[in-house]
Amino acid sequence: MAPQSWYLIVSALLFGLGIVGFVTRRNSLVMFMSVELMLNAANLVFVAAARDHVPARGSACALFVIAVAASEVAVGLALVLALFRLKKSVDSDAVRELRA
Amino acid sequence: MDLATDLAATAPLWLPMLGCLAVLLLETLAPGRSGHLGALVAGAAIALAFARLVATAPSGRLPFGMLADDALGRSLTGLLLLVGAAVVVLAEPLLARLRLAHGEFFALLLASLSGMVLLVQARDLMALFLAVELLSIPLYVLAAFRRLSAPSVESGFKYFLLGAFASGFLVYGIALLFSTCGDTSYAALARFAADPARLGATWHVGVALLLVGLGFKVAAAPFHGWTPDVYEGAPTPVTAFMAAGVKVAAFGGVLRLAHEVLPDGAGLRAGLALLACASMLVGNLGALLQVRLKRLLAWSSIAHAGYLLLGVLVVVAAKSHAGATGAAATPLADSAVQAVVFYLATYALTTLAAFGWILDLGRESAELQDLRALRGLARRRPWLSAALALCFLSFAGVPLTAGFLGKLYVLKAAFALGTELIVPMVVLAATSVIALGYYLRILSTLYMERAPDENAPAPARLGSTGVALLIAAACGGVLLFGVWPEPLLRWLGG
Amino acid sequence: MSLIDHYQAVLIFLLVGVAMVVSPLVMLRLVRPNKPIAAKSIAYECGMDPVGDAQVCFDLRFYTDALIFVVFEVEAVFMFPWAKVYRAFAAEGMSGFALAEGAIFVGILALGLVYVWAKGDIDWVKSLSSPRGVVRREGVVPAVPELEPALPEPEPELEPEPAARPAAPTADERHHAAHASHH
Repeated sequence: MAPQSWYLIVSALLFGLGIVGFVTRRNSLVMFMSVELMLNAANLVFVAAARDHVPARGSACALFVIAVAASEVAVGLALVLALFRLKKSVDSDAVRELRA
Repeated sequence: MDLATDLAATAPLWLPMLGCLAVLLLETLAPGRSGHLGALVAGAAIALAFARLVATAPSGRLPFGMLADDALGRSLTGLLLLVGAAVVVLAEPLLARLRLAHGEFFALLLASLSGMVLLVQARDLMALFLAVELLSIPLYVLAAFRRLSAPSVESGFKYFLLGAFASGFLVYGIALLFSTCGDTSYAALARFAADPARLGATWHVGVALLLVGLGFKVAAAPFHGWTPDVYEGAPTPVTAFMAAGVKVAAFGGVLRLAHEVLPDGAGLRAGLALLACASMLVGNLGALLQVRLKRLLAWSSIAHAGYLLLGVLVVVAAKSHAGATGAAATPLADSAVQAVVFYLATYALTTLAAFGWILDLGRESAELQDLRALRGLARRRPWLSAALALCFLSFAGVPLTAGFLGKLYVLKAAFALGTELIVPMVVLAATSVIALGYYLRILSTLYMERAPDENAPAPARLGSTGVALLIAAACGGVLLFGVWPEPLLRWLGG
Repeated sequence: MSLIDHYQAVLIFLLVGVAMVVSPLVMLRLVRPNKPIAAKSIAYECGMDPVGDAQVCFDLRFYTDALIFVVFEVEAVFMFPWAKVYRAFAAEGMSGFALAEGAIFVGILALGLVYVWAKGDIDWVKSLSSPRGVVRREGVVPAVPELEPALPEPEPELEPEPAARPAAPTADERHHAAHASHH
């Protein structure tokens, strides 16, 4: 079996990819997908680490993260919809009503 | 089986959630007509939870193995329930005015409130994560509650995007801590951290990411970018809820982490000191440039996060204070926790008064938030002007107000450690002077300047007795606890 | 033991699965009238024209349905571990407790579904149609006739200017506003 550190490296790459995606992309849906990537990086760590410790614990954590991510998707999608109804765009640069 | 005991001990946590479900049920039975009823149910749920909280004493047990039933959790829960009740009072007239009086608002408010209560009681990282999400997700919707108003939706959208980003950091930090320690409970983490030799890079990165995630929530610099826009765009009662409730809840979570889990170390100290100093500087300098009320309060809330972070830093540093090892360090840390909790209480009180004020004078619209609209207001609305002046004096930390004592207690706790934390203490003193500058500028606008049109009628008010009473009560509290803090201290001390 | 013994549950599951699909098809073949027209032989794609550019602006109502679906679908993830530990709880004589917990969870989800239902958000025709001004690309067949955008009336702003409004609203006006919110 692959050593623990490999999983950590892959998850760190995923997490970094998520951050880069969030910071560089302007489409709010893609930004949101990047956040999902970050959450799933954490899930990978949970599941991989669970093997060394109490397996059920890590899996339970991963399930909670999945469920919370789904709730965030629902609310996020609803907000994007509400914004689209007002602005006709999902570009986060179109959101510039509030400025100093 | 102690299920019944656990359930009884956590009533303040699940009663708001039950209220949330009740409001949703009402809304299902009579769609679109549950507005005032929703407010009533919310008020009743919060009152019941508060009654349960006051009626029972902390047992020191761990309900469900992952919550805390101690003095810290109790006092912060009480504070949060009061904030929740105040926001119900603030929101009801505004929603009626905007014809947005739907029960959903109160259902979301109650859900978020129970998340906040969970956050200050959590003694497990998974509970902490769930609490942060339960607190945040309804708030994203609440911020965008005026869904036909572009600023409101935009505020909710921005809050959501950055909040989701922050929760990515939070959960990845938790995952790293789990991978190195094999458990998520605070007790196990503290046992693990007791041996510094075991703490590798994974642990430190995990703690750092956890603090970044929570730093977003408490609006600490450099993770404060969302704050001014979100505060400005959200409906004022929601902004009040964010400013008072989220601040109390998130700092409650950070405080418990610092007190029970995080071991003192040079890296952690440096990180917290950096966050604290950056927040104080950025918040106060940012506030200097603001011309609109809600944005000004947003920047000031960033600065207050900095002052509070100094308190958290003291809690961490007190654990290994030179000359006071082991048991002797505990009273120092405890008094620092006390100081932060007192600060949170005074901050919440002042914030509620200030946002109540904005709401009462119809400052929901952008043009009336302009500070220039305050010129000469003292002549026409002397009482309201005095209330706002009191809020700003308390924010600035002028003696005889509660805000002064809050700062004083935090500084006193820091002084007890000698000169270890001298840099952030100096920054606190220096930035407080800057803060005094912009707060006094507003006071002079209120009292010294003349209105452009002397004969114009006094600005219209919202005309809600509840809001007016709330402002009066909060201002009374700010004054009372500024000169006689013992009752509040005793209540918060548990 | 042969392989069949090990996998008989899987085999039965497979057979039942196949039967579930095949039997209605066979049954309907026997019962239904047979009148083939061209439209019936197009691949069915939720009421949209299956041929054309994939980069079309989907009807916004799909997103509403999707996000409602996502929540309920993913929350079901908790049912699996619950089912897994149920027997362990039952062995300790706590089956009632475990059942009650599951019932509360499902009850809360059901309340959510009923709420969405009562609000008309899973009702295709009643839900908000796509907003004004969205240009529909060629080739997109509206699934239902265009509806008037069912947006509620714009919310009244709080009176921005004191000059425009000589005094605070009278008790009567406030009373009226409160009632208006209720209709």
